[in-house]
Amino acid sequence: MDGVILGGWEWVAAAWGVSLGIFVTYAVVLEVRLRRARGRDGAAGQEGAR
Amino acid sequence: MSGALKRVAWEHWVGLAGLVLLGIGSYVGLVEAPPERYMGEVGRILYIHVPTAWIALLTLTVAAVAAGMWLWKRRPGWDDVQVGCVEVGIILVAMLLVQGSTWARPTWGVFWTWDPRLTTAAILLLAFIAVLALRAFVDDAYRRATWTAVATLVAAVDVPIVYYSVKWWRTLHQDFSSPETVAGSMTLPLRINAFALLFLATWLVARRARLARLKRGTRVLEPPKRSALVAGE
Repeated sequence: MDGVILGGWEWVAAAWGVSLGIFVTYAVVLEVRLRRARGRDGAAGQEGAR
Repeated sequence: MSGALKRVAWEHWVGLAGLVLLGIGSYVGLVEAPPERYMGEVGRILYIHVPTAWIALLTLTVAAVAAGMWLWKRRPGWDDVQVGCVEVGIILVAMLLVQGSTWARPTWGVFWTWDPRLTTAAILLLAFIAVLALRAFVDDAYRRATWTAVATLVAAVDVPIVYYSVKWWRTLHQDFSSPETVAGSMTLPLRINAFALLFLATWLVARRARLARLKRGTRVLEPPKRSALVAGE
């Protein structure tokens, strides 16, 4: 059993939690950007697509 | 009711499928699968880390294909797809580095080391952030799409380098895994989460492409006019 890493659930939680947190944050920000763009849709003089 | 369902954009159904699969994959990976013999519970990080790596490299490869298609066909839809893939690819590589560092600390003893796989992955992240930075500096939509495409193709050179880095150089990072080298009980969560992230990435790329299309509106992308000052004829 030499070299076995005992425990480690905190690392598992951190890896899944932080990385999926990044994903969810991006998804939420993207939806907000879409809503804002839809709000501006139809208005004259649109900004170019970035 | 059915009319309301029909009004839901197609990509939301793909995203929902991804979310359900991620729930199942997380359950199988965190509860059902046994701990890894040497890494113990920490080995469960690989059930999200490895699929993230696969889908990140796939997304950035699609970005390169879309970039090539824009340069060839000059259809605005390809620019929408390339910016979607680049942005989502950056998010996936950022997730990948966080997962990898969190796994490295209890197993290697450090969050970061300048190992070839880690270094080339960090370069990948920075290269594609540079692509978006370049894009933000160009005002003309046609030039912006072209510059983005060229920069994407340059940055995408690092994609196969990241993939083969464990073969080409001596590295701390594990070699390629295959169903022959991974226990059967461990391949299932890897596969489920790979499809989950594929669907979720497709959802986000489609949303980002929709945003680009919305911002472009009805404008036609055309090459900028040449200077009005023409030498004597």
